[in-house]
Amino acid sequence: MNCQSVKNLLPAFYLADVAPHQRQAVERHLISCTDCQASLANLSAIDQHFQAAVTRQMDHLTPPSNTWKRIQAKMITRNQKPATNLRLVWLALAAAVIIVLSTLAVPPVNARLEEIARRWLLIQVPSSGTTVTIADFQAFTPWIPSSLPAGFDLTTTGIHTRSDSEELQLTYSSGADVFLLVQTNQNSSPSLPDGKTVDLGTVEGKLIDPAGVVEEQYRTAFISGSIRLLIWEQDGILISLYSNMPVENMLQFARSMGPLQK
Amino acid sequence: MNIDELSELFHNYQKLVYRTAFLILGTHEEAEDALQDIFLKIERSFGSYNPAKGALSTWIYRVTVNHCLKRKSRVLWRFLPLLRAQEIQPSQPTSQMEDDHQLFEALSHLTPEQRTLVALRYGWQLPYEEIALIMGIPLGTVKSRHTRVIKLLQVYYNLNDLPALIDKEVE
Repeated sequence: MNCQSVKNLLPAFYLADVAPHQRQAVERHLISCTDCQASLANLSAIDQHFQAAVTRQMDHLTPPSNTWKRIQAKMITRNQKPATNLRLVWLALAAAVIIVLSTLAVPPVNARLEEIARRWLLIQVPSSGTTVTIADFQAFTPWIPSSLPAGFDLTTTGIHTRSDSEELQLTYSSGADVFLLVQTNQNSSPSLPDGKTVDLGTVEGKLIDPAGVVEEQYRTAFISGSIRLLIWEQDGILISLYSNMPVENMLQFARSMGPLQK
Repeated sequence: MNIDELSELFHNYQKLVYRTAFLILGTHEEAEDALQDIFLKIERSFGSYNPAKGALSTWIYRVTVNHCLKRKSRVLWRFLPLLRAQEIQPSQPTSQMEDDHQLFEALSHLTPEQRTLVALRYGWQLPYEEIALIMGIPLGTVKSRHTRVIKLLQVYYNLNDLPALIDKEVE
C-alpha cells in the first residue's frame, strides 16, 4: 500500500471502520512511514480538539427559563374547541357589535389596540409594498434603509432576545448578493472594532474588509466574493451591516437608513 | 398525556432537546422555537412511543432530530461565524473565543445531517448503534457519515492552522 492509499483510508482507520485486511495493511505501512504517522497524529489531534470545543459549547447551552410557560400557553390555545356553526354566528354578531362600538370611539378598546400595535414592527417589503409584521418587539426603534440597489428585497427577518438586550436581524438579498443588517441595543456596548473610518453622514462607522474571507473551495452559491462588515453606533443602537457587495453600495445602503416610522 | 406528566418530561429532557436542536439549527432562537414545537409534538404523539423498541431518551432524540431536519432552517449558516463573533463575552478567555469561532466556522461547512451526527456523537457521545436508530439509517451509513465529517474537519482545521492553536493550548 502506498502513502496516498493509506492517507485516503486514515479517517476510516482512525474510526476503526475498515475491513481487517485493510487495517493490517495500514498498520504495516505505518510502522515504517513517519509521514503517515504524522497524518494520523494530526487527525487524532483535530478530532480531540473538535470534541473539546463541542463539549464546551454544549455545556454552556441552557434553554430560556420561560419556555415551559410558552408551551403551556400554546397548549391552551390549541386545546380550545373549534366553534360550532351556531357559535360562529354568535361570534360574528359579537364582532359586529365590537366594530360598531369601536367606530363610536370607545376609548378603552382603541387604547388597548394602540398599545398592542406599539409592540409590533411593521416593515415594508419594497417590491410588493406589503408589510412584514414582527410581533412583540419594543426594545428600540430600528433603522432601515430607505432605498435599495435594483433587484434587492427584504427576504428574512429575525429577533434574538438575550437576558440584557434585544437583537433584530434583517436580510436584504438579490440572488447570491446579500445585505445582512444586525441591530442590537446591548447595554454594555463594546468599542467599535479596528477598521477604516468611513463617513455615514451624521455619524462615523468602521469598515472591516474583509470581515471573513470564505475559502474558495467552501464557497457556495449563496455568497460569492468575500464579506465586508460596516459597523456603527446610532442613537444607542449598535448596527452591523455584513455584505458581499462593493463598498460603495454598502455606504449608500447605510447612508440611506433612518429610524423606522411606526 | 396530562400536563403534569408533560411538565416532568420537559424538565427532564429540555436540555437534551435544546442542545441537540442548537447544534443542528445554529441559533438560540431557532433552538427555542424547536424546543416548544417538539414538546407540543411529544404531547400529541406520546401514545406512539413503544418501550419495547428502545429507551424513552432514544425516542425523544428521534422526535428532535426529525423535527430539526424537516424544519427549513432560516439561518444563514455562511454568516453564523460572524454573528457569533458579535456575542462578545469579556469573561471568556481569548483562546476559547477563537475555538468557538472556529467551531461555528467548521460547522458551517457541514450539512444538517452531518451536524446531527456531530450533535449525537460529539455532543452526547452516543454509540453508533443508537445514532442509527435515532436517524433511521443503517449502521454502515452512520460510520461512513462520521468518516466524511472527520475528513472535512481535517481539511478545514489544517487550512486554518489548527496545529498553531493546539501548540497554544500546550503552552
